[in-house]
Amino acid sequence: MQSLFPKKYLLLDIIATILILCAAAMVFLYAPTETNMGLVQKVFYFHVAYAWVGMLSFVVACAFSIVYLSKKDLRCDLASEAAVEIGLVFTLLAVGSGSIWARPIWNTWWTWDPRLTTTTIMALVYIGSMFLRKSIDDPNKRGRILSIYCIIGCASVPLTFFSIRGYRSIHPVVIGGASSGMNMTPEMLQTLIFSVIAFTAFYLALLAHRYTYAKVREDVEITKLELEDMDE
Amino acid sequence: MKLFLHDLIALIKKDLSIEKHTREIFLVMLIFALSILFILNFALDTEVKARSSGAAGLIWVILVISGQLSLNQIMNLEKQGNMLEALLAAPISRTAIYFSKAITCFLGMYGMALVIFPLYSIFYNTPLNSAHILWISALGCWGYAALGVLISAMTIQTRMRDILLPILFFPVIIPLIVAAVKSTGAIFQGETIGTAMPWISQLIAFNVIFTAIGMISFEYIVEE
Amino acid sequence: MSKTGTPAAPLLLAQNVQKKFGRRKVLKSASLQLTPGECVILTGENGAGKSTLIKILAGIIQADAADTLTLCGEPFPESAAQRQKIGLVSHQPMLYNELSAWENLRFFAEIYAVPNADERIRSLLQRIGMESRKDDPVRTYSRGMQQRVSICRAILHDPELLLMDEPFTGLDTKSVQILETMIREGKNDQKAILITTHDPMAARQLATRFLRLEKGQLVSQEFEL
Repeated sequence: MQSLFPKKYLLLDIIATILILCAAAMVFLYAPTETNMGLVQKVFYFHVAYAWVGMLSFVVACAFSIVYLSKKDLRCDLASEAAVEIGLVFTLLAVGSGSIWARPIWNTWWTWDPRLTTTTIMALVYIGSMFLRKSIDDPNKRGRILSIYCIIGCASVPLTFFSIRGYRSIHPVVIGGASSGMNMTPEMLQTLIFSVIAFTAFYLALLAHRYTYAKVREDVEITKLELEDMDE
Repeated sequence: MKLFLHDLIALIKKDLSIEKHTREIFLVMLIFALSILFILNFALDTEVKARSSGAAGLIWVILVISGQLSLNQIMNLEKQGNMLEALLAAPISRTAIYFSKAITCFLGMYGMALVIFPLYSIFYNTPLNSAHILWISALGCWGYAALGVLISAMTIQTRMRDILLPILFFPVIIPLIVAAVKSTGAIFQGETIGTAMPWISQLIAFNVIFTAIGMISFEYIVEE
Repeated sequence: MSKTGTPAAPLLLAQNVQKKFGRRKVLKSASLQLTPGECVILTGENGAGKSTLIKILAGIIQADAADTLTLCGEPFPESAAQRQKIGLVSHQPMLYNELSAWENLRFFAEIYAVPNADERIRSLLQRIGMESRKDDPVRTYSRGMQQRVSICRAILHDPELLLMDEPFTGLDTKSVQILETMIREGKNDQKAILITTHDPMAARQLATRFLRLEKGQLVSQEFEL
């Protein structure tokens, strides 16, 4: 049987697998255990990577949406569909893994911290757009409306963060903060960066698979129509 | 420009005269808002402090939830009998259609705000403090209408229609509502315009952004 | 090209219009030419793309691609000013149900910038025999009455090109008569008229030409009259 999956993606799969395995090894073997938090701190390496991929995927979906609106190429809409779905999974993972970490450290599962709130609102936008996709049948109309919604979401979510950032926050500032809430050793930082890179590669591989699935599904629909036309 | 205004006024007048005949949009929305206002009474029964400190937030929640009813109605009006196609075929710009819908929605929202703010103040004994509330709440209502009409133009084309509107609309309107709550809240607390200015300028900025998005993308949404 | 309306100059010129609807290519290469005084009847099976073509010409939807799309020698339908020259009758009345016939026509007169609107509306309503009921909401009218008002809406601004999508669907005898009279008058006034119908017999004595939409292309068709 001929595989529908392009060969070039296979390389990406292999690289992503190796990187993920290395990242896991680094987290558990290389990075030292944090003195105050103990083992639960290891969640952090994955948590940051999930949150990063969730956000990246949002931007990717938005970029494909803009290209769709200007080029009207249905493949861009399929890519955006793939990005939204994977992004949602990672965003939920980020919120979930954050909760697991927060319970012992902050002594609560949830807090109305700007980062947490914004991330969850982002997940809501993702979910909304998936409902929207399900309830429109015509592919062109779907592409148009979904693209606009994606762009609105991508504009609105940072604004949400901006508008609530003044609230009291206990979330550790890891990147770009002047006073780091978490004292990281160089090994920890290296592990974190490696983990983010590994998950980005993993994300790209997933995106390729999910896109291929959408493309095949679309091709089947087109072939069906062609067969129908030939019958006439 | 003169033509644009002429079309805009004709479109709004048409919406208002439909409302005059049916009273489906404004009155229904207002009654709904009043019911929530009364339900709040039971929730806030013992919390005298929450009544005043949470006033701005509660009022905006009422406005946001009731306003959604009018958003559905305002766009459904054009979907029934394919009126949207009649408008698209007419020699008027798509932007005029968008603004007419946003302005109609704004008038309804603002009218409701003008009733709910004083009523809340009377029922829960919270002083409104300053006439600045008048224009600050207008800003909040406009942003809500500008983005709401756009989302509603999307949802009327889907199979799930009315149910989908809040799911899509509420997550993206949050920044505007936060800014609106903060600005009105600051005035309620007796702050001057000067100290509330950071929130108000944010509110204005969000208004500009949402209006620009609406203006640009409405065309893509209604045209096939 | 001149606007004087010499019989040879085409009023409407559409070449190689393409439109995909979803995954299906509805219009593959539709070309059409209408000269003033013509009344063309367009037939085709359900779903062949008749309505799509009408909507493209009316400016409601955009064609994916078209070599030429001109009205009176100028490109359309992107320009709002060009849409002024087009009148559209659809199988749906396209009137606000809650407003009366008078209010509806008043509104459309406003956005089409019709001069002496009140007088024009009054005379049109008189012609279709709706004077007495002009202040009742449209939803209380019968289907035939709604469609008659709808025809008034389409010709209110005296368009050069009249597009009619299945106008005969669900009409009573009186309404059919009124519609036929209006079409005849339009022909005499050197307007161009395009009518789609699934039943070509409906208005065959009015037609100057027959076209058929087949596999996304327009082919001309002859009928024994």
